[in-house]
Amino acid sequence: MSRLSLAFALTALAVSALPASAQLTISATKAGAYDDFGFNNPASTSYVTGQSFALTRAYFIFELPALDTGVLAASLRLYNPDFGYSSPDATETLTIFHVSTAPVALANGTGDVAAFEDLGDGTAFGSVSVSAADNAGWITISLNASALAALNGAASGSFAFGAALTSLDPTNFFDDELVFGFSDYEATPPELALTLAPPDFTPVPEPSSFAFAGVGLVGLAGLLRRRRRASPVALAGRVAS
Amino acid sequence: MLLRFLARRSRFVAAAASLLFAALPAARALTPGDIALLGRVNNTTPDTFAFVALTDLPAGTTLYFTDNGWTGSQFRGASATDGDGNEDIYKFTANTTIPAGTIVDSAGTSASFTWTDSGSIPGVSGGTFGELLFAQSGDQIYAFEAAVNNPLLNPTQQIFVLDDTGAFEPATSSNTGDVPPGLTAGLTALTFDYRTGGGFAVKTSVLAATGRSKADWLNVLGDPANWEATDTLPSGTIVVDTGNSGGPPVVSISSPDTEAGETGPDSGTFRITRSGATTGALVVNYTVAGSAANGIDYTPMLTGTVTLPVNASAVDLVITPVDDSALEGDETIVLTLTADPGYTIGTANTATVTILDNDAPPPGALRYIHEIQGSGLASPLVGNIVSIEGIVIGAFPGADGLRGFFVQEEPADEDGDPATSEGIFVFANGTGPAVVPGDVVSVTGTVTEYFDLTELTAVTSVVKTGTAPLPPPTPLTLPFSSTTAPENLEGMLVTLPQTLTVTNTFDLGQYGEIEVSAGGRLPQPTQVALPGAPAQAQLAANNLNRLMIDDGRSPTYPSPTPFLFGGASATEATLRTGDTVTGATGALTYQFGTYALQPVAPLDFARPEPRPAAPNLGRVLKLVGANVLNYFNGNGTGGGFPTSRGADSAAEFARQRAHIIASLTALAPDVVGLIEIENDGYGPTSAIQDLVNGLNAAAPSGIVYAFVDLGGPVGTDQIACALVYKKNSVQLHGAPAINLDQVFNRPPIAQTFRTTNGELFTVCINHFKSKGSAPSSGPNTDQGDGQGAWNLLRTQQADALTAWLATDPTNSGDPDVVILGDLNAYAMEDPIMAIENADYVNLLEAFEGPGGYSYAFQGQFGHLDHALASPTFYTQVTDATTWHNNSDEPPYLDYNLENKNAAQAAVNSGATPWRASDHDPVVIGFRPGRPFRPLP
Repeated sequence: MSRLSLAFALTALAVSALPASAQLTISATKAGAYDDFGFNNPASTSYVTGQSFALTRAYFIFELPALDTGVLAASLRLYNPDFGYSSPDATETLTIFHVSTAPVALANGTGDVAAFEDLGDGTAFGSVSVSAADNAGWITISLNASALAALNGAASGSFAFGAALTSLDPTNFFDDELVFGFSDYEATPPELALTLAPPDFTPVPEPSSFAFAGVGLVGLAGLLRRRRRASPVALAGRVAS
Repeated sequence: MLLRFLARRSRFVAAAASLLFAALPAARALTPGDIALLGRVNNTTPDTFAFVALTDLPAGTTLYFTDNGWTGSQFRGASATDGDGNEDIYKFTANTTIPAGTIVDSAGTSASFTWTDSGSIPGVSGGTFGELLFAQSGDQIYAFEAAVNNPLLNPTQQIFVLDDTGAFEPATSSNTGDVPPGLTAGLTALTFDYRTGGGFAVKTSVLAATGRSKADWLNVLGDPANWEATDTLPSGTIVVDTGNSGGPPVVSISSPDTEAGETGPDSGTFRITRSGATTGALVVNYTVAGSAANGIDYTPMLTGTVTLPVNASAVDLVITPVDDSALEGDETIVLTLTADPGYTIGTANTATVTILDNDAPPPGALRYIHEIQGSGLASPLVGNIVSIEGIVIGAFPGADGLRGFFVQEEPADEDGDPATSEGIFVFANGTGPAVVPGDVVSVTGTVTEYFDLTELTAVTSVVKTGTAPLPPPTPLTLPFSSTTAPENLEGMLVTLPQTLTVTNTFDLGQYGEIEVSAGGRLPQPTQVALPGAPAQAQLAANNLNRLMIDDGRSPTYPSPTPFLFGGASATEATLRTGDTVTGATGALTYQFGTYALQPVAPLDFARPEPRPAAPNLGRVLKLVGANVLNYFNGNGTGGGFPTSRGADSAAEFARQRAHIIASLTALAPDVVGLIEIENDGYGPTSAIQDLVNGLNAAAPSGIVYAFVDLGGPVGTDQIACALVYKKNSVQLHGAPAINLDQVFNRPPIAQTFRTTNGELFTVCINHFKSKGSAPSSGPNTDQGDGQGAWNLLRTQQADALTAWLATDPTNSGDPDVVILGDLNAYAMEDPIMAIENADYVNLLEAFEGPGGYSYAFQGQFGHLDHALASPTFYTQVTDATTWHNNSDEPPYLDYNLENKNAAQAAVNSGATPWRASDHDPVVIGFRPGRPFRPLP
């Protein structure tokens, strides 16, 4: 896989003082929602999340490039349309989850109930409080260390996030508790913003081998690439949950 | 009940011929009735008239017409020197043969004839020919032949006269009122009462018949029912069977004097007519039937044959009743023509004369009530003065009541015959002392049938003689075995032991009347049965399963309103259809063409179905179809009242608005299709903007409603359909579509919506042509099959609608479509079947079953308001129901302030949803996305 062939926006702060981080923003190639009966309409462009006439959790799929440097920070940016937030509560909590289901299964609507469960359980990657003030605007969720580890451990290719409202009121049997109503991933694609380490930056240097840092970096990079090649698609088995 | 009408039908007593055999005059150049006048038009210049030739008029035939008057011996004012007698005379000359059947208009021109309307009259020094000028107060037209010189003074043959004053030559004229010589009243001398200025003529429909001879036509034209007020004279031709085609003459019978009487005695007349030549005598055979005894109840004895003499086209049989003393009631004589090779029998082959009996028992003779009632529908003692003794079982005195009381025979005096009633209504009208149930009374009065209720009227004496226990009420159960089954209980104390359901409250507020039925509300026939015979059978069953309950009071808008559930002081102040009553007891009467109970004790209503809360279908999207009862908001800034169709005042609109907003807010719809909203566009003062403003003001914080904007008024009707949606639940997907095809009275509107989860569905709101304002003829008139008028047009609208929707007018590319609206057709009617045949599912039928309803009419319930879904939409539907906040409530709860008593106008004020409209809203719950049920 060639770095040069990747289609992404790379902001190399080359003019700043080294070490400089790089910002990489990737648009989702697919997003959608599964209901608690495991239903997903692959043709729908909405990633509505929460409880209305159906209880849904959302997924977002990004095509990761091969990352030659580590991810230092990451955030999800999700557009919430006008009237997208609907709840009798002033705020709801949106939590991003690690996903085990194969992205291709999510995308083609065959994830079933397991996918719905998967989108709202497992390792939490971050959460944010959302409210009506977020209508007609972008919601940004800073992803946590677990997310960074997953990203740094991921091969290039499809990478999926799950999203669920984790503040649903169990005593509410009628009113909507919803975010991302009317959303349309094609019109306003969800974004994954990555802060990448500069090429000469080692995120986890070994202090005792600092003298061999240059050699070590090259070796580590080569090792990572080999490991990726050894298990190119086994995402589910690679990351503990 | 309504105030009693005092008017009674007056009997028309026709003049009777005095001769038993009255041969009509012999033919001359023309004979009476060779032409007939078909009508005239007044108030025009010139006034015109039309006549029809009933025989061929030979070339050279000259006829004169005048609006002069016949004084009994001559035309008034005509003299040796005065040719027009200060009136008008008009000459008609046939240039060629005018064939029988030709209609000639006095304003018409033709090579076949010439009208002479000016110039001097030969043989006189004064007066000229002139067009007729009819008097506003009534006039007449004489048609006659006459000498060329001074024709008015020298008539040779009277042919026909048509008079519009109701009597020949009214008293204001100096004349005798005679029919001119040779003419016969009712055949060739016609008088009708059309003195109001305009025109009148024979109905065009009457003239279309074939196979009628001259005599037949004269009989037809002599019937006042065949005439009408109109300013359009008949034209063209009619078919006259002249009998000259070689076949035998056509013989017909009629009874120009159909009513005879023992008093006088007053004779009656049959008339036998023949078509064609009168050169020979003709013997005609007939049979004699009827309840009168031939030769005993009347003379002469009818022999079964009658001879039409030479030169006579008609002969009269005059019978004279025998004034006997038998109490026999009115009797009939029925003559029916029987076949003979000498003639053909016409369509009028039978005729009846009735002999009115004048015999009565001695005035005031004591009679048992069952004798007065008899076993038939009418009393055999009508007109007799009788006395009765019995127990008062219900008293409704006074001008505010029924002005009388019901009396039932004491049990010991009953005849034991279940066919005869033991009760009777006494129309005391203030005569005698006040009576109460349990009083034993003697009453003297005259037996009458008051609109088919046997009663004593002209009461001369009411005497209380004691008291007695009330007779046990007779049970009366629904349904009746026949429409007249309760006749044997008319006037008696009855009880309704069943739990009966209130099925009609339409007249509760105005007349204090309700209807009850057994087994629940009555279904609208075509809601549950196919049009035609099945629907007619259902209607017949319904009519046997309904009984009126009246409040025993006569004022309109009775106060307090009777029969309220929970009593008159209940805050709801309503009686809902669906409420029940058990054991209602009262007097059984007959009024306004139906049996009715006049309760003698307050009715105890139950409410098995409480006033329903708005349907809560759970976590679904809610589609609502709602009629807003002509939601017209004036000019939108507080003025502009009265409106053309809706509120008459700002106060009425405030009530209407409160009810509509309250009902829609309670439904909390996600999409609502509105019917009957003012068609005044979408501007800031439009009705739809006002309604949406109201919804938003009432909605919880954050909930926002908006309307689908078509840009301007939709079509040309005063009312329109509209779509309103909750922006929190759905968003517009693309532009709306509207169908302006002329087949629609109100254009359908379609809009595709996108849901929060990205699914698409399309709603189309409709308001089909109503059943009212039937055309007089053609395929859209009421066919009598239960579907009402305009069924064909509604079916065409249904077909056009589904064809349009099949083109994806909103370009959604999505198969989820639902048709909402008031389709003015019940579930089994053709338009609904047409939509179902186009592969739509009737959601309300599917989820409610066949007996659902959104509308009550004449106490019968059905769905005019529908939701029909495409199969894929159907798979997402969780429930479909109807909120009966309107159709079960009495009309006086609505926003109108007129035609109510003060309490009725005040009740149901404020933000209540009850009777917000006359239609119930339909409610569809669905979950877009995951199919909820398999395809149908």
